[in-house]
Amino acid sequence: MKTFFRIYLLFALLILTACSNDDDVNMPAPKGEFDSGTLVLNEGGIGSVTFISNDYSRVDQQIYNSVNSGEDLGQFVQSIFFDDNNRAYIISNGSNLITIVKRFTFEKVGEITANLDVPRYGTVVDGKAYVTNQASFTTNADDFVSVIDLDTLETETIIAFDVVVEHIISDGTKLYVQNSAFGFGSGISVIDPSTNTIEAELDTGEALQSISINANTLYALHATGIDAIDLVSQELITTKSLPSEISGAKNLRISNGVLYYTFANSVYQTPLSETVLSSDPFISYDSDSEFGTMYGFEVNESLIYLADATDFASNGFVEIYDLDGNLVFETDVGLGPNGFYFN
Amino acid sequence: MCMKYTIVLMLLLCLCVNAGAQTEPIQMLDTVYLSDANLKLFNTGQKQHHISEKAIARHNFALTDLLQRQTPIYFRQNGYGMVSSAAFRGTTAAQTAVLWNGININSALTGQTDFNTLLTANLSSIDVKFGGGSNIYGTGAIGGSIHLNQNLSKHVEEQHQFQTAYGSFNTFETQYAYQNQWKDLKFKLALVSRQSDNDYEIPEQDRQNQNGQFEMNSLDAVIRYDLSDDNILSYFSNFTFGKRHFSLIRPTEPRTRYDNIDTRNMIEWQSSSKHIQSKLKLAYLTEQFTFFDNLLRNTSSTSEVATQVMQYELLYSLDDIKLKTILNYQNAQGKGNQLDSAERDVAGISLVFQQQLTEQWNYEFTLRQDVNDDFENPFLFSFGSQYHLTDRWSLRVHASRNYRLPTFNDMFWVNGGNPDLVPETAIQTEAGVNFEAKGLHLSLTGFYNDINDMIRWLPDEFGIWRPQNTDEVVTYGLEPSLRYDYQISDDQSARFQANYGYTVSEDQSTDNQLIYVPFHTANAKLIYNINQWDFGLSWLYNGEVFTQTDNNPNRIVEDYALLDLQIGKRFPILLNSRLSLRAQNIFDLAYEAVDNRPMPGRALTIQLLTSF
Repeated sequence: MKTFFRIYLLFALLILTACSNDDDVNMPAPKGEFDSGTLVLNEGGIGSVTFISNDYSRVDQQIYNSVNSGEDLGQFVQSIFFDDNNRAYIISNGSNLITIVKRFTFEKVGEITANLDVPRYGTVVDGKAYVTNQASFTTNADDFVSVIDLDTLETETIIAFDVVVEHIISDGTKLYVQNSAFGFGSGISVIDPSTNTIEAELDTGEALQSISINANTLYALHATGIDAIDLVSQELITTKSLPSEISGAKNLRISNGVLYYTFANSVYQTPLSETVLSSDPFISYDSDSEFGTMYGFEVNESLIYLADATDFASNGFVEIYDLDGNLVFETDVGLGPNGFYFN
Repeated sequence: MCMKYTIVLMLLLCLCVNAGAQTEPIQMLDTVYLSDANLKLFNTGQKQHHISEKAIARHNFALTDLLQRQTPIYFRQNGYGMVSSAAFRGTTAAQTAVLWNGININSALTGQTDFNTLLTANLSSIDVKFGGGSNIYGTGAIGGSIHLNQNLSKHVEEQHQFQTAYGSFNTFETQYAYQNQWKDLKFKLALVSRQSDNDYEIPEQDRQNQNGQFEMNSLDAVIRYDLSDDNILSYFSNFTFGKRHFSLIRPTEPRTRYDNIDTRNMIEWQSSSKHIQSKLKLAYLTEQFTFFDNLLRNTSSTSEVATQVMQYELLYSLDDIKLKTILNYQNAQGKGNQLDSAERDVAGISLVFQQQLTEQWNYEFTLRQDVNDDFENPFLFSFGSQYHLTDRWSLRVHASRNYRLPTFNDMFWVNGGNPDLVPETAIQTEAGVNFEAKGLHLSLTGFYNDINDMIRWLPDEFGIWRPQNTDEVVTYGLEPSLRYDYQISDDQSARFQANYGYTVSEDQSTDNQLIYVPFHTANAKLIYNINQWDFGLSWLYNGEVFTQTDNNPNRIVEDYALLDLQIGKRFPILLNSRLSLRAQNIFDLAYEAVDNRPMPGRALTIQLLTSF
């Protein structure tokens, strides 16, 4: 595998060199030091970001700290979201802080601290960021979504919830908030961004783990299956059943008509057309500890990315597979890797 | 079933001894009554360190600060005054037992003691016993045990004592104690308070410690009533209550606070005759904490535990033999909004045998078996021996098997308690050599500790953090210590003492050093007295510690060395007072004890102590 890869790399480099000598004008200029690669978010302790270049020639650790000396991302960085102006917003749930950087250079351009209380995830619609906040862990009654104008970085409004809020995703017109966290809870709330109110609450199965949108359909992975909900009618179309031996599966992703999800140290896949979800592992990887597995997971452009947080007190690692299940690359990253983002 | 028999047995033994006591001739008692008499009687072969009342008075009231400067124990402090846990001989926080007048007061919830909730000013002595002590003190005494003692002499003179100190970061310390004697009733009542804004400027960083303010208060009572020359009734009481905010790394973090209320009450009856001494201890302990996870929202969670302890000790001494039985029964009940209802009964029996074989040579061994409803408890034993080669040189060895029960949180935490845990066990051996000459005391101890089934919290396959019996850990090291007292002239004296600890604490699955266990700890003290003046210089060193289990060399908390200075003067004609000035960290050094938790720079304190 490795030999093959070296040859591939050499070949790629030769082509690149050739290109850059002859056809400078045709090559898109890199937008920054961290263009053409994957960002791995490491939760911390104090959070950090690892950059892996697409040709795997570079693995840069702690890129935020190296660009912005003396700064840090705060405690327990949970997730990153991006706006249309190539800015990345890095959410620290332990420090009630969102650090704003240019996504390709990682230069800090600002931060948001107002109206955040254990922020978790965010997404952008029409120049406004919608950020879920869990506030006190002892109650869900104080959970909220803060709506932030990204031009002024001022809070525009707060949308109050009486259920837990976790992942938030959008189809461009509406926002969908997962009303479950850490394997507890169910249901999805729909926010209408024109009024910034909750317009509907969609039911799902119990122990909702993960939500994803594909072609006007919202998929919700829970303890016993995946609910498919039509985004126009907001009705349940069908439920694909999940074999009980992998009940608790998480990390639902959809790519090129295939559903991907994980359970323990394995990745599973099922074509969207199937009604029963596969329980045959597609990729299994070795984890020294059987815990902290699949702490981060993503499918992007024919590659599968998974992260292992080991014992949360030592560096985690990342493995990248192709769609045939072959290991393409692996590397150590920072403490508690929990997500992948693509530049 | 077993519990009932134990209780009956205890009662029977009581009656026997009482009956015996009436017929036996009178025996003279020690003038100082030590509730935890096992400390003095049964310590053959083990390293032990005594901190006198006088030495306690030379420090501030924080137990962490005192022990750091007197022993090689490493303390992991989450910022100054915040949660403080001990790593004794390379073990984890729950493997150090803390005893209050002989009763284990480690939290039933966490298994550990937060050393920043305990104040020293009302203690009459502190003893530190190195290594295993489960045979006498039960669960948790693996790395070592720390004994907080409150003694009352047979004869007490009426005295008021008043101490007050004010220092940097608006820190106040106050103590008032009153003792007196009415016929056969002696008592000492004391109250102590320590509070601080704790808003220190963080050296080398342009910020202040925020939300770090704390206060800790304690009310203590010791009452001793001599029923007769050979029957003593004692009562010990402690009421501790504190409020601590937990300091922030960034100003945007949620502000949190931790309130604790602990009560400890114990009644004790000691009955002695020529060869037999019996002691019955009945104690009732409560602990309660409330954690406010966001002060703006005023949301909180509370847990509380009530523990009843009954301990009966029977000592038989004949010529060169001492034989002791300890029966112990404990019932603990916990409740809280983060805890499923929790209850535990533990009963134990220990047998201790000591023999002075020759004038030079003695040995002791102990056997103990605990029983409870939840676990198979391991059978425990220890063996110790000491041999005096000459007047100056002596050798000692000690070996023991010790254990720690899983705590209430380990078992009953609502979102992850694991009822399938088994107790941790540890086999410990140590050997040492002592040298004593005029004013000089030297000792060198080596130890080896093999800990099995160590409990650690890890996320399971569903991402829920649960405790697991995962780790096998071996710790070993060396502990040299030195003390030298020198009387220079009639009005001048000096003392020098130094401790060093070299500790390896290895996770057997990775061969890595445990996190937050330094290889090196050391401290040294020089005290010089002249006339009414005294000068003290105190040095403290903690080696670097790893913060990641992979021992990543870039993820460490760096080593640090602190120097403190103290100048005091006594004014015997002015209410027997002593005025002192103390400077901690005189070089204003920037350091951390835990990653990202900076500690204060130079701190000055002025203290006045009077007694009349």
